[in-house]
Amino acid sequence: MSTILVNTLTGTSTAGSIAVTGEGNSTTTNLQQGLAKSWVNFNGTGTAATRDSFNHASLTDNGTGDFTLAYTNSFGNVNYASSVYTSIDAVAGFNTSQFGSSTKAAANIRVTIGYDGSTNGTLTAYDTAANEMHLMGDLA
Amino acid sequence: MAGKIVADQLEHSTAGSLDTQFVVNGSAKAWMHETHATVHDSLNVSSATDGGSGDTVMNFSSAMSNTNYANHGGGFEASIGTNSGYMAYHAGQFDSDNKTTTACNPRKGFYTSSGGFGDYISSTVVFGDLA
Repeated sequence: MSTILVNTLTGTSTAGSIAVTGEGNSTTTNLQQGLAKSWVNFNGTGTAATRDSFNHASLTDNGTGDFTLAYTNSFGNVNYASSVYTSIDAVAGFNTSQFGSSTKAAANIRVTIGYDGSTNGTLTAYDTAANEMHLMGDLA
Repeated sequence: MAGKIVADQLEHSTAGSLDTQFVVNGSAKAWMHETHATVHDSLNVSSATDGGSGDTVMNFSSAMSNTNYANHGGGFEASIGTNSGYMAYHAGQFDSDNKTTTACNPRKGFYTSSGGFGDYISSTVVFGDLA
């Protein structure tokens, strides 16, 4: 087995672009573009707290089901892809858990979390313990 | 190509080491951020096709090797007290019938008594094996 000892990987032609050969050995994928640039697992109940994270600077509790998550290193724009998973606990007993990212900036994202208890599409804000998010996109 | 390194492991001076199989297998092979087939940013997406309300086909530039890849998404523009989006794959479940090696068909909607689909700003990420 060969091992490369390195602290930073930088492309030769373009510093921020390194090709990685795919599983089928016939195509390549872009290393930088394929990496999640930030992820976080946080508890939104009580005093909101982060359990574990990457490129995450702070978690702000704006109110029930309303959180702002700031990045250590900002994105290059607001076109990054955000995926948030949240699980409303069984005690709540509602139909589904949902979220929205109403405010997205290069340096942070504000997410709203809640449930639809009436099947009419109206989101009711709710603090839940299980919240996970990952982000794909371009760092600044 | 300026150069090629063949290695099984990357090792950082302080942060530990990583088998390069995790770089190959653990990297997202496609992702996009879009609104009703208008792609704002993406990786390995040749185009997005508008299939109707809440229905966007994500076409890959480089095909996947099979249809066993994992795709998921979210990040819809919504606010408390309004209709909020969630990702569904036809009837709110993952539906492999809507996945091919060259495209996947994430659908997004909102939870109503009629279960309607709607157009939201959304994100989709794909993990799996490239052809």
